[in-house]
Amino acid sequence: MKYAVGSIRRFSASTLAMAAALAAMTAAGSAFSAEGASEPAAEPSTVAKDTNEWPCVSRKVLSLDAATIWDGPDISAETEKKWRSDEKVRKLSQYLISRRVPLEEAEAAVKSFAKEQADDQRDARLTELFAAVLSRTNDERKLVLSGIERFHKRQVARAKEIEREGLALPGQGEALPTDAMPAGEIDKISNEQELYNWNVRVFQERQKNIPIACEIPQLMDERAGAIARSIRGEMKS
Amino acid sequence: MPRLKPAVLPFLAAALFASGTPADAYSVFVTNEKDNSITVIDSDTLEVTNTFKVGQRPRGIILSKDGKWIIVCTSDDNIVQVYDAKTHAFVKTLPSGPDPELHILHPDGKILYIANEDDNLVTAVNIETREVITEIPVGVEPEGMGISPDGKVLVNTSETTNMAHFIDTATHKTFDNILVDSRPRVAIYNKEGTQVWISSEIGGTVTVLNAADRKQIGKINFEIAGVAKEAIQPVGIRLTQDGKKAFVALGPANRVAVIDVPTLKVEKYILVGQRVWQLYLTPDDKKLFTTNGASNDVTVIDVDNLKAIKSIKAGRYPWGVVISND
Repeated sequence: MKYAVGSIRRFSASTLAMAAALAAMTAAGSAFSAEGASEPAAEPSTVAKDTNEWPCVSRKVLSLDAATIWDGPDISAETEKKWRSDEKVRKLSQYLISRRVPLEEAEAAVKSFAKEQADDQRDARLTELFAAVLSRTNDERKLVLSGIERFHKRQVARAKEIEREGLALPGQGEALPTDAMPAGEIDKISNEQELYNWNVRVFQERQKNIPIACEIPQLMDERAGAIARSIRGEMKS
Repeated sequence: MPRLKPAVLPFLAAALFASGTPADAYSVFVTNEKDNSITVIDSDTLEVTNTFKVGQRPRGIILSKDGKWIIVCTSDDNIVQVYDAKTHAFVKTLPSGPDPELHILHPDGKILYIANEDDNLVTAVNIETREVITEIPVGVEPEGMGISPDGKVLVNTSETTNMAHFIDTATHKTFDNILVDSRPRVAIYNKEGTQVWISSEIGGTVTVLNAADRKQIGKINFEIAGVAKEAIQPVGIRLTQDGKKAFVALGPANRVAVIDVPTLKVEKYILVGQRVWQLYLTPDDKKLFTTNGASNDVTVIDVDNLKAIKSIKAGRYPWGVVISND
């Protein structure tokens, strides 16, 4: 099985590539904004319907369920309602899920939040914080998943167009390696061949982004799991 | 993740030491796919005792029959590497064909069968002479490798063809192909050699076949309250020596399912680390170690009580696991 992997703690070249891939893929969709964003109510996850539009090796999992990373108190509708009107929890949860924030700093912020709470309130407030982290992760996840699918759809359309262009060329779609051609020969390439070569190159470059983007939902789940463990570690119940 | 309380373990160890009967300590070897390393854990103290570098993208890991070597598929190096199980020193490489992922040793201890994911082949190699004996064509993206206890039958699963291929090890010819659920990952025989268990990652099931006629004995489905069906992705399977229990790693459901073998019913789901793929039992069947790819740790399960007792930090993206015999 080819599971691509990555690190969330370092701003490596692959992380930057991921950020670029994510930006490209979400550009066509609505931008996710933390402050002042409307926060839709959590939806139960359902089975992915159209796997043909899913280009990743890992199976499409629509949402991260609390039960996979949390053995604390149930997240009730009341908990969901509470955190949305709690500014401290809203802001902290946004900070915690940001993969730009090193995990150690996020864990320290959870500890500090826990310390601020009265003993009889601590576990309830920490449960609210987890509910907020999970909800925000799933909001962002949804955008990333649909971004990956849109990107893939565009690539499929691009591939069909390239195929059509290729069949119309004398060589029936053999890309000529222009960088290896002797000087003077390049002028002999037709405009159609040049356009075709360019489109093939664009397609190939974009295709490289897909495995990178496919890592993003996994990294989000990994991050949410680490934060969940950190929150749970501060609880007494 | 449950909050684990390992505090009792030092007391237990101290008590055993004092009575002069030290607990059996095995070495647990975990391949870290992203770190190109192996983490070594003491099964008694549950501490990491060493981490050493290996080739690129280590995944499948097994022991030689005499327990002296650990044999690792280093997938991105397109080779199998052999390390000394005691000193962790590099011993040699074995030819493997491209992209080796999982492998299994013939019970004679000499012939290693390797699944080549990119080439739709199973490569057979003599681990002493390094000679490639044969290449057996199988389905698309071969992965799971099981061998009957008598060594006569090799089972390989192919992820894309969704089949289990039954291969006669005397002729190296496939004599049966069984369709199973989508993306079969692991095939394993029970100790008696009467059953073959096959996990299907996308199908979300485990199929149990009668080894003699390859007819289905049963199919295990998994349901976990609050967890979406598509997150339940069975991969690793292990059976206890007495054949009573089986453990199945369920990927991003972050659970290990405990199966009652006689009835093929799920007895329990144990919450472990994130994206659990592979698992391995200590030879005394007391502890089960799971590799959790997304939380970069290993969960230890107390088999008698069916409880997770500790999570141990490993390298990045823990993948395969094997445990020494002594």
